[in-house]
Amino acid sequence: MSATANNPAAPRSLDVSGLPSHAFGHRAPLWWGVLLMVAIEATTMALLLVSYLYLRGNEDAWRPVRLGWPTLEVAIVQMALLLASVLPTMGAVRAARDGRLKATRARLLLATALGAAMLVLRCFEIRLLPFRWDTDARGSVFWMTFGLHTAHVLTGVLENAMMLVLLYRGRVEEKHFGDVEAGALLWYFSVVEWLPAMALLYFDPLLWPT
Amino acid sequence: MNDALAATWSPGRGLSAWLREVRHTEIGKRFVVTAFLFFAAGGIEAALMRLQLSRPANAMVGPDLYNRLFTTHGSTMMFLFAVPVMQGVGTFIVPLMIGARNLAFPRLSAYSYYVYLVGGLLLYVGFSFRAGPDAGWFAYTPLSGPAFSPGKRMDVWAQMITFTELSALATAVNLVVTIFKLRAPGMSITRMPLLVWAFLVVAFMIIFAMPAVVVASSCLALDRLVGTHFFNHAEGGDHLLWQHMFWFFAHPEVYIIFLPGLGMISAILPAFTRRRVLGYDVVVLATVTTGFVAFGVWVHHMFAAGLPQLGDSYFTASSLIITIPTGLQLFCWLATLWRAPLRFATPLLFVLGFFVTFVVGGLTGVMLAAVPIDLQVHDTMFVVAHLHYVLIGGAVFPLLGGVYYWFPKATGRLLNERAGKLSFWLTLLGFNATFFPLHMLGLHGMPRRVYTYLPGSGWHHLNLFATVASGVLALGVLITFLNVIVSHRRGQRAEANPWQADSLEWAVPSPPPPYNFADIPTVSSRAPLWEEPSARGVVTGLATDQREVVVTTLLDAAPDHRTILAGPSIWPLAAAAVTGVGFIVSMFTPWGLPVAVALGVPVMVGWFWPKGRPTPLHAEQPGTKAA
Repeated sequence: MSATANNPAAPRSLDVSGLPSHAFGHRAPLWWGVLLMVAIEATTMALLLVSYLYLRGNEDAWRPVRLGWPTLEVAIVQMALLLASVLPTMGAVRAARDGRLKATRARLLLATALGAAMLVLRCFEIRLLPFRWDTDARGSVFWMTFGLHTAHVLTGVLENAMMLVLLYRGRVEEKHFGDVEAGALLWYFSVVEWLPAMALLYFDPLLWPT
Repeated sequence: MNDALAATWSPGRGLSAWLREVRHTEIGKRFVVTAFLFFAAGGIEAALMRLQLSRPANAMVGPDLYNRLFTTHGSTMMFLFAVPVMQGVGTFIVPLMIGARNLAFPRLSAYSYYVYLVGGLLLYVGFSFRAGPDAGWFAYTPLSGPAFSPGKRMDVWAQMITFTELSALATAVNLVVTIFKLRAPGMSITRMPLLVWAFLVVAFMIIFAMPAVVVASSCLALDRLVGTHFFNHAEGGDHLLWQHMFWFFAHPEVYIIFLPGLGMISAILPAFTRRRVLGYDVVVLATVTTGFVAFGVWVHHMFAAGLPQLGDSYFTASSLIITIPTGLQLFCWLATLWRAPLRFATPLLFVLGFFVTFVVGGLTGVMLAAVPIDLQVHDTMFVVAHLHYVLIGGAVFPLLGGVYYWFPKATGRLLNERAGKLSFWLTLLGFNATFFPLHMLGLHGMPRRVYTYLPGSGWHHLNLFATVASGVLALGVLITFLNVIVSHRRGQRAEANPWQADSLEWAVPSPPPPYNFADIPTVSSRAPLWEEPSARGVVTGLATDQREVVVTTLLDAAPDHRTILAGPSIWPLAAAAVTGVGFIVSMFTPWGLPVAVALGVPVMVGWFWPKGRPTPLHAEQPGTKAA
């Protein structure tokens, strides 16, 4: 097909009726749309982490609070749940690419349940945190980063939930398999972004002398 | 077949259809018209400031109103005019230039527009209730923080920023995906029009620059609303963090504003020189280079903030380097103009006006990149003169040229040429006579943003001259406004290609039908209308009873698959309304956020839940669908 399109001596008409009506990965517009949205959110997260480091530079005023038991442990379990959710998400994408509806929705259900469980733990963590956003600048940047990530995970879980309702109850079309893949991009991002964020917010203070 | 296409792509009639509109031509026009209305408002604010400064110790405008005037003027021109008008032009012109029937995400473009509109109205509702922001368009902390700006004025500013940046980000994503995936078969990345390249680079710049100001304005709003300490030194915060984040956005912003202007020059020149722009590769690479280097110069706005000297030197060097790609483009255009059979129509005149004006702005830019000069003239009228030369010269002149150039495509009627030429000369002379004296006033020490000056300062002659000249400038712009209003109804009818130009938007009727191209073209050169006027191929086999389009590969634009674009919908308006409620309530209580989430979930479900005719699962791919 590409040969005819690029050849100056190509026939006057290019019949596209034989082309598929959907595509996966970088071939699909929606995949690019979600990828660019991830780029925006990644820039936002990166700026908050840079802000953390910038504010930390004001050492004389910096009062790192070490998060210990049980807050740190609760946070680590959340990270583990997020990492664990990557596998079923990847499985759901693989099943979606093959057009296997049952496997897609079962794996997506598992991934969503793990994400929801992580959000439940986060609600507990919010109550455990020993400082507030208005305690000092560290509290501000901690809560802002924490809030942004919670918003990302919440968005991912709600989006997956909507997708699941569609896959179980709605009129499933071929293109919805592509939507599963595009949605997974956002989910991977909300898992990966929390690795450097946790390193800074939770583990960096442990390195400072008390 | 065209009737079937028209029935499929038409939005329908009535108010409901108007509110559900998703055609890029219509959304683009709304963006441009709204942006020019804000431009007029910003112009009136400027005129009031010029009148106030026309004589020493003037009591016409008091200091408080003057603060609100210059803040609203700057915020309007940057956030409600310059960026949105370019978004609008991109929304209107990009699909036409690449042979597409709409943007990749039509409903997202409608959402972009409505969110922008809400943000703009918020600023002006605030202004008319004496709650307009008053701490300058870059809202430096601590002045803009809770301690020195009590009340709601700066909250209005911070939320207006969030609205307009959200709108710009949505448009940027839409433009990138459209340019990547919806180009007509054969329009490989090396055959893309230069203006499309400019919009592509700008869209990427928006994606990586605008989050900085969203983070900054959100932090400011939180400092003001719930007592966070991002910018509070007493609790470990830092004012300079604001400056870094703001300028990390706002310097790329300058290029976000004028790169589309440069792209318009590349689009306009061929029609009036009868030749393609010389050095396509150079112009493309220069545009991309500018996009990258623009992210490495922001600290030159902060030379007076007392940063380490090594940092200052680095940013002086990078600020000088960025003149190189811009210079390369200028030389490419000059070579295109050289001994060409020029046709001096209004669009070309505005392009030539750009050359004169922008080069002056560029020269003062080189001066300001040097730390000693910057420290000397920082916060004076010299900077005001420089930034107006760059932005009006770099963006508004090409934009006005673009208005005269594409008006016939948008409306089906030509603008009046005599009025256009008159408008050009008055604008050019008025602009230079208004802003050139400000260089001298700045060198004489006149500070910016101070509502008056004393009689003995010796500044009153130049100020009076600038004020009178600003009347000439205003008259020049007003003539174009009137030209647009009159020609819209009574102008001479325009054919499809009134300028005998080379790019695809001129292959469709003026104004374009709702489906743009009756047959999606295939492309085999950079100037499809000149080099393949009759032998142009067409795409067949697309459904005419659905909004079906062909998706092509990223680099070669080889046909890849078919997809169905979204049609009219009320949900973008509903989503923008929810966004508006959320952000505006957030000015008063943190509950705005949960309220927005609670309202937003049903709206998102409504937006994305599949409607209409389903494509059955595992269905066989149908054969030829079109007649």
